[in-house]
Amino acid sequence: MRALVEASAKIGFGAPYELNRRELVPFRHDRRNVSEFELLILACFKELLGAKSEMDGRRCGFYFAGAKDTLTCLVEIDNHLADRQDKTAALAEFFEDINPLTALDWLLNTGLYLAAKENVDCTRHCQYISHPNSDHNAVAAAVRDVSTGVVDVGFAVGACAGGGFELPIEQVGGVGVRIVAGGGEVDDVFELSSRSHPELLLDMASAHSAMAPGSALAIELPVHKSAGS
Amino acid sequence: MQGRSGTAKLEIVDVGENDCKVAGQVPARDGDGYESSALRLLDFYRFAEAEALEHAGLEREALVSNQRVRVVVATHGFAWKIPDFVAANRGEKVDGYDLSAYYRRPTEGAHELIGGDFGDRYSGVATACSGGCVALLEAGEMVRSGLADIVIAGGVDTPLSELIYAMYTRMGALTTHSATPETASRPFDVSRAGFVPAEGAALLVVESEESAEARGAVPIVELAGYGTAVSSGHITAGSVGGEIQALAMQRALDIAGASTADVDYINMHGTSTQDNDSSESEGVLRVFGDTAPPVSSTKGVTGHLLAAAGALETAFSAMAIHTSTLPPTANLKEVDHRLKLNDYISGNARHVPCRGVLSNSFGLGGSNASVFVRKP
Repeated sequence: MRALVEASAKIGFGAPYELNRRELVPFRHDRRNVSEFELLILACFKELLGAKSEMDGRRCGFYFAGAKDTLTCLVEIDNHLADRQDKTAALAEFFEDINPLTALDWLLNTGLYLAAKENVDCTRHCQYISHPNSDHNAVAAAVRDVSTGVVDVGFAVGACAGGGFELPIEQVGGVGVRIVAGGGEVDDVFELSSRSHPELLLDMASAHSAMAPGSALAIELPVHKSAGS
Repeated sequence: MQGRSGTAKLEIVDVGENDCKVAGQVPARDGDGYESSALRLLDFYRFAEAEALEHAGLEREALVSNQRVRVVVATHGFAWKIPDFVAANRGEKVDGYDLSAYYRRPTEGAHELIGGDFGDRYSGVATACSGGCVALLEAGEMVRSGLADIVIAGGVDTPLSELIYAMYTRMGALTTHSATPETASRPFDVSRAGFVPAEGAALLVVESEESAEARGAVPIVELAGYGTAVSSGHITAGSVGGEIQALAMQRALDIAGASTADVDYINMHGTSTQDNDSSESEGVLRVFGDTAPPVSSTKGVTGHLLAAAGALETAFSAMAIHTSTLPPTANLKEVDHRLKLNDYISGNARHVPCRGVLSNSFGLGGSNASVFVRKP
């Protein structure tokens, strides 16, 4: 099963970056609750979207990958509770000023906000987490869905963020590819294979950015044959 | 199917002074004594997987080595991990490095143990409360695209913890009918006042027609269609007027090449919250108009299994077709007059022929999914 990389984006992973919360998070009431992980996803996604007109009339699929940094929040919760006997009141207090969903990973759905803001037709979406193959899952789903015509464009985007503990700066960032259907003549082929998130996406984005403008990079998703076929 | 509620007083965890003390909880079994909710999650998964494979006549060992077999499981991601971490460190200040060490353990534990055997043929999905439905959608696309012959798909969740109760209470989403645990979840009722958290797992075996035929397996239903749609106007509320929920339902029917006339029953997301039951009903009305089929929410019986809910309710939908029995909404005494559908099933199950069922699951943050199953 084969598809083409139409665009790639990489933020961070050793390179300095700044994230504009106000620009990336459409709804003011949610801004303070969006973590760095989500901002990285959003920033990458926004870069991949390109000009809005590029997506007009195209059915899009969003496939996000990674482990969200709920960690800052976890540390805060734990320390907030540490000296308190009245645990229930302490928890209620903690959540008084923040969106209660912050502590969960659900805000990964934040990526969908940007689609709404940009008025992009999100026909399919999924997010893959907590597993070393999560970026493989995301890219494979994007290739699958553009190949079968379920969507016209697939966005596979992953991120890593430190949150409550310090990750080496080389490991913090967002990376993604924009994928469309296509075969025929290509300049290079990138075969999907397992490796720890986000290495697959990083390698793919690097391969794409290293190519000359106008070159075509194909992604090959191996399809094992049925025993009976 | 009898509409007998399984929700009860919360017993397996202490939620302190939280007013809500009701849950749908899995009864203790011999040998219980989980070190963490991650292990509880894993145990639920294994139990459901064994039952699903036995029912389908499949052997796990043979599936693991078969490159045409995949696994897609929805969970609440880190939700199960947070309470463990908090509990493990209660009374002690921690820093990020403590958490870093803890962070790796359950991540490698639960998901690696669930799907590790399958390598990159395993997908861990997290789209909040639509997760079980989205996992089935993924399974359907894997089979339809030719990537897989068989997919084990569904959801598992273990959300019963002090922290999760505190968060949902803060949102105003949990039931306030804690004094009457058996009737606390009352979808569509005029007195509904929030959902009842529940735990459990539901897995289905999704298989290509050719593969099932080749091994003589008899399908229960056809996974005919599925749709997703994004409503991102608010972090917790559904779309205004049910517009986006309607889009998910319509897309599920479109993929199946079905019309509204092919739907004999809708298993609603029906969480028993004011907002969901209202906007979902409006969404159904948008798609079906005055010809909407009978609807019910099985969450009156089960409570809300969050990431596992969509898979469990798709299983109920399959059994509605298979047994020609539409389940009622437990605890529905008086339909909220603001809800405009014609037929909310209450009281007893309804024994009628059923050809096709839509099952809805909607997640916080804007992830809406709908699955359409029909008679093979």
